[in-house]
Amino acid sequence: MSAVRRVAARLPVAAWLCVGVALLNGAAWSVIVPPFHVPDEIVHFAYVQYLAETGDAPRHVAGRQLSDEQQQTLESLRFFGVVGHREARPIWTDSAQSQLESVLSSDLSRVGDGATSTAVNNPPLFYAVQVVPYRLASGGTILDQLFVMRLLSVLLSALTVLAVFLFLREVFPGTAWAWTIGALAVAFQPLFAFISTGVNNDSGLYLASAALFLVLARICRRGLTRRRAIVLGAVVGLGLITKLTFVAFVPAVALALALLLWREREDRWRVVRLGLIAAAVALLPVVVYLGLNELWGRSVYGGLSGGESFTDFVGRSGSLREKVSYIWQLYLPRLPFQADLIPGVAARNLWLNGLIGNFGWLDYGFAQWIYDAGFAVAIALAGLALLGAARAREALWRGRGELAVFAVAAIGLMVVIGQMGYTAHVGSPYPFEQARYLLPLAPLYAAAIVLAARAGGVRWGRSLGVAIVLLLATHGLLAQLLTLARYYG
Amino acid sequence: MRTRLLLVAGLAAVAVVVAITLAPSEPRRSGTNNVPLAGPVASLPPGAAACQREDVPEQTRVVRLHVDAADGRPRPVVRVGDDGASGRRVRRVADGTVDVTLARDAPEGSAEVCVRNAGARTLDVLGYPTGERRGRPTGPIAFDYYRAGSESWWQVAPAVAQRMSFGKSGLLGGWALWLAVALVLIAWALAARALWLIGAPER
Repeated sequence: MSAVRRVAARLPVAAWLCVGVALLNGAAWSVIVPPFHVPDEIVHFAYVQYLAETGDAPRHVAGRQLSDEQQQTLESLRFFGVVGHREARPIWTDSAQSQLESVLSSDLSRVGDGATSTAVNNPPLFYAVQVVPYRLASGGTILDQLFVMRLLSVLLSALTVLAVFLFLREVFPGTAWAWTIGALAVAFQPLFAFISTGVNNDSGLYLASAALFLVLARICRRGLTRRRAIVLGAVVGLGLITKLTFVAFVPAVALALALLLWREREDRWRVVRLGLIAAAVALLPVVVYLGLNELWGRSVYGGLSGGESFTDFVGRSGSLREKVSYIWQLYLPRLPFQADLIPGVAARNLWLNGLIGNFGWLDYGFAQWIYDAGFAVAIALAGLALLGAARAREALWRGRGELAVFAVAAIGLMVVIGQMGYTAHVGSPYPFEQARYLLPLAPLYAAAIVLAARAGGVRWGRSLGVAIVLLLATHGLLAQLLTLARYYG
Repeated sequence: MRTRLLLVAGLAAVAVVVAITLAPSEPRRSGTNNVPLAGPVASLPPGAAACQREDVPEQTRVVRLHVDAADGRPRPVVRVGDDGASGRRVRRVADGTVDVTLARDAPEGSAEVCVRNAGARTLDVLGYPTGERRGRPTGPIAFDYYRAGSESWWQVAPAVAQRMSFGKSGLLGGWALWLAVALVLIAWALAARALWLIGAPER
């Protein structure tokens, strides 16, 4: 505890301000977005409720996903009529509110069947942590519990922003003003704030990913010590039992350790020993999780294979060649010899437009001109970031090993998303990919923003950074107004 | 100094953007029955009416319908409740979408809402078909309710504040909108402070 306090005391004021911004902005989102309207929030809440009420995790069995209490509350909120229907609105009248209140006070069962849902494959760490606010608010209604749980998610998002700040401090040690620019860009990013506001294990994944980027930057720059090995192992282990997508970062961790091994050739056994310590620490939570799965009667790794189907839809098997082509087209322009597997340009339609804003259960967004303007801004920022990178080319060349680690992390995540997307493409009636799945790369987004600001050089860099943050924060504010209009206007 | 001046100017510009965004005066919704538009649910010969029970929101002056008139000139008459408001002033909003303005605000709460065809040809009213009667689809009619006249977001803010208090945690009470506004303002103030600090001259 005293170590945490020591670290906290060493943080610059700007770091605390960025954390405060993320906390307050996230809390505002959590108040604005109606209950359960963050993607998949109903099944994530159900997971927590089932875990809290039974001490057991949901599994792939037939039955009710939701408790009577949650089901009837959702119906009283008209949730199923509103989600996915942009023109529909939540309850707005006294009589509907009275009906809801009578459901909330009717002492309905809080235990469902813990049956198959899209959340069942997830490891339990995020849900176990959410049991704490669930219990703390258990004297209130289900909506009180959800609200307090959302605040915990907001806290995780604020810690993510802190990790991004510290990552930037590590990567750009000589440009203190840039740490604030990058961290605020993440804090105000509307999709990040919107998703982080809900009960969704993505907020745990964002924190674990940002922490991993921070640790990787530290060990690449300062070398591996026993403490850093333990922290690296802990971050990897806890990340893996937060969301299985985290496995995408394991190759980057392996590359970082290999680089250290190469760099410290003369003392390679020390690196090997510390690497083994990291691996042992990482394995510990994974082994505990595997044991819990045995106890809970779930498949060995909670469905890591993703083989379970949620629908009666029978797809086709696909092929490796087509899968590679699919993953390519998810991020890059289609090559002439490739079959058109994804309509339009995914880089823009899916990822960029999604990051600009596709909210709710993907049921509302901005007017088209905002996406067009956002595209122009993104091109301008990318150009500035390239210019900033060119200005810092000597430093970047010196840190090429570290850059390779970050690149492998990004590619790993993109491939894992593509792999799951292709599985859905051939085997499910529903598309899988959503822009939020790229948000674990928030530290790299922040670094790109910093490079863009640094394109202004010593004379204009700070001013350019302030202008960029104001633009991005305004984007976040407009997304909040859009959300108010969607549900209450 | 330059950075701080830019910050102040930028914040002023953001305030202007927000003011402009919230300024346009338009018809504002008072509620909806959330019935999705999927097809005709009532086929009304001249003089016939279709009714359904609705939870009518407060401050409703206009009822929006989706219709298909055989002669292209829909003339629906809407009545809300037995002794409630009725209206026959029809405004075409878009193809197949008409607003019927009531003589006065409809009484809030549960009421029968009826659509009568005052035209010379058959009028199809749209909603969500759930069954059939005598070979014709039936189901709930889609109604959207609007407040009188046109208003800016600033004018409609008290209504938004009230709506935000419904369906929320009791911990928020009736203060959800104002709490959100306060949180956003403080977040921006902290961000401004952080950006102000980076504008400090280097030591």
